[in-house]
Amino acid sequence: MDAKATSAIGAYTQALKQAAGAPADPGKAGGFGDMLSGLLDQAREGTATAETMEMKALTKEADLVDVVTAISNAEMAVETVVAVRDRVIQAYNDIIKMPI
Amino acid sequence: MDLEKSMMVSAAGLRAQSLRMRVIAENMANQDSVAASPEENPYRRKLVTFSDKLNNELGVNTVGVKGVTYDKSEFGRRFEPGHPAADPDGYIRTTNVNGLIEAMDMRQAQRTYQANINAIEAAKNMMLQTVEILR
Repeated sequence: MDAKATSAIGAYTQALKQAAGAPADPGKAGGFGDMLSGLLDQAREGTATAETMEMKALTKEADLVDVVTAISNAEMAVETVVAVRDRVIQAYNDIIKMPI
Repeated sequence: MDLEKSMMVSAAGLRAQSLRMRVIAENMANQDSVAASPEENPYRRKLVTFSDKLNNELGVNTVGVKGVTYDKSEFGRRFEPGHPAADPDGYIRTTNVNGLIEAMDMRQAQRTYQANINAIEAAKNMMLQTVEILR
């Protein structure tokens, strides 16, 4: 049981570290905020490409196929980021609500 | 990820088929294009050839248009003595475009385009379903 709890906390810090895209520092304050902004950056990058493609299509520089693929790639990126964020927040809540 | 690559492969298929559709439209539009003088040739039917080539960015083979070539088959002949392009016997040369063949070609381009769209949809659904596991 003990081993499971520590490994859960370990996995949580690992997720924080990966999501923030920063070097590992489990005790660092503000890690959660870093993680959220890292996730948002990833989502923004995905949608930015789609937006540029849309603009190019409007000026007839890119064809419809490029726009469709760019948008669905952006959609995938956002979906993934949202799912991971929800999962990490759920883990955070689970730890916060843990009876001590 | 391979699913993203498969989407890009299908997108290349869509691009190739749309070029094919453009050539078919050119052929259909020029079905009745004849020369203005007996020396000139009428419109010659165009053909599209496809080939798969390595896409360095993706690291997979995608379909591309190898080139637009000309159909070397014989031109048709029609008796029309009053036409400016008529030869001494009164015949003019007509295009080697056959409307029925073009219609069939168009239907095939349509079906292949649809198949590529279905492949994109399937790949996208597979990716979304994978993300759904997290929820």
